Amino acid sequence: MTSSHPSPQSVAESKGVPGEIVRTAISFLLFLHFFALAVAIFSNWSPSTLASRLRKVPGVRGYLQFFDMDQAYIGLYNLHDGMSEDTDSTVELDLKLASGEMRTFTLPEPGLRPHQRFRHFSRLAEVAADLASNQDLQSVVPQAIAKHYIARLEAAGQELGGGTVGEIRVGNWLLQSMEAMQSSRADERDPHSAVYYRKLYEARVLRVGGKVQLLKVEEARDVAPAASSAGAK
Amino acid sequence: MMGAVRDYFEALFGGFGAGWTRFWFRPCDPAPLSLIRIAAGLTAFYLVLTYTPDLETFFGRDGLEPLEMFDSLEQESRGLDRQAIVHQIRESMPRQYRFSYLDDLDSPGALQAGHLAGLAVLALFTAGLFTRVTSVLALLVLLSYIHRGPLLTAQVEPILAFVMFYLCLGPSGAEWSLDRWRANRQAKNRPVSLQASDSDPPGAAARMSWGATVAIRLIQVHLTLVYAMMAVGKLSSDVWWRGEALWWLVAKAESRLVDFTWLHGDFARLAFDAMTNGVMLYQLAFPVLVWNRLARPLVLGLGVVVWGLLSLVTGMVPFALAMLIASLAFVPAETVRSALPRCCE
Repeated sequence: MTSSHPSPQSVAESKGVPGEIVRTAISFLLFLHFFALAVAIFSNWSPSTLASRLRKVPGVRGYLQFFDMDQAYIGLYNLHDGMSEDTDSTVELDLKLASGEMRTFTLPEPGLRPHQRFRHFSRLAEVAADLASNQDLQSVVPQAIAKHYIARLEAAGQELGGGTVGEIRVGNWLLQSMEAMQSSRADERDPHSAVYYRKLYEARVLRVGGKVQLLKVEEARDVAPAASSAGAK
Repeated sequence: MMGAVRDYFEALFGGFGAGWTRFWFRPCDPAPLSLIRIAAGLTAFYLVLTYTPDLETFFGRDGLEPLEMFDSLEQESRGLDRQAIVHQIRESMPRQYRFSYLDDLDSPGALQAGHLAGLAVLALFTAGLFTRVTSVLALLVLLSYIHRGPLLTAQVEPILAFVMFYLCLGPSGAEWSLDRWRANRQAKNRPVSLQASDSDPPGAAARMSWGATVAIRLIQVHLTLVYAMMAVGKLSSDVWWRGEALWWLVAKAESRLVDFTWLHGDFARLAFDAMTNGVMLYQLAFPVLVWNRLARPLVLGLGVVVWGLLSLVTGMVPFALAMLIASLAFVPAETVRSALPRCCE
């Protein structure tokens, strides 16, 4: 049986190809690298039991995370899934100064340039919005945002009172359909109209003992009915 | 019968071995790798530079991304099944295995100094000075920003991180670099007896390197995997199947660069439908056709159109650039050399 392919020896003998020991060592490292990459791809998107367990192979997770390769490549690069988290998000913080004046901060600040700067703030707002449905994590980002802007105001010599010092809201802008663009109603044609805004999380900003805390404002529908009214109808 | 089976497997493994050696180790011209170094270095420099006005806002003592926040995100999410977290959040979660030299810099002065040092490293890497060292340092700088501000990162950083990782493995400073300029100057200053003779191969041929092959192949294979995953994701997504995805990207009023929403009506609907399917088809075709010598120029040329369009629609210019930069690994060295003016060499 003859082969039309050149033998490994003849290829290896070509000028400049490394020796066999080096080739074997590098091939082994390439295998390890692609194994880790395959684990990242398969374990970050609807993972099978096997893929989830392969993440626990010693060194794999550390290697992937350190080099920023531990990504859900499918989800991350899909750009748009038609899901609610694919919209633009925003965080608004109202702070009341001791003088009674209100200061409002919006993330991302519209028109921030260069655009990559805008994207940094936009990503932070997106994460805050995505976490809003998670009871354990929803206040983590808004609290850091409130703490930052309070510290900034104080550093600038602006005084805030004690107790409730403001309010923070996380929301997103629902996307306009093509039909809405042609609507006869002006508010439907305006992408920043209130009809497109959806509030995801709202909290009062409190200062207790010098620390910043958030007290979530529950929507009426989220609050359990009073016991006396349960049988009223 | 057994002999035929044995012969088959011998031929199979022999062919695979030869192909493997040829694919990964046959020396190649490092010109494309050097071009990728310049482009990736400039992009990384720009990305890090955009943090300059907001350094303290994000990473300062009372910044928007305090290290304590990472701890609480880690602790809270570790209790849950990490996989159960929405993927978009998971991507932004602080990593358990992370490194950032910015962690220890929280005073304004130290932060500024660390930031300037990072920019200097990226500039040296882009210019190709001590590239073997600065390529590793530049990767560490980029990773430091990624790991210090995971909630600020998105699609571009992982692409740039793998490109810069692979650039560390090959002679990315071989061409169009201060290293090359220094080497040329040293060669000229050498005594005549030590200078290259007529029988020595000319410059480019002398710089053929299997290290360049490994680095370029790694970028090619990794990029192909990313495209394949992009395509698989789109195939499993309703909005891409229905031809609506591009409209929904256009409708994101806050993030787009150019407003295309004035395009509406029946014709526009068909145009968005066609463009959505075009993007999907391109990402589906890339992993296969880019390996075909004849189709490759067409695939790479179309990439400029597709990513140009997507960058206008989504506002993700650095991401689109990073995809195009990684695609340079498929451009033949002769094309790269003929495209760049001689004065750069």
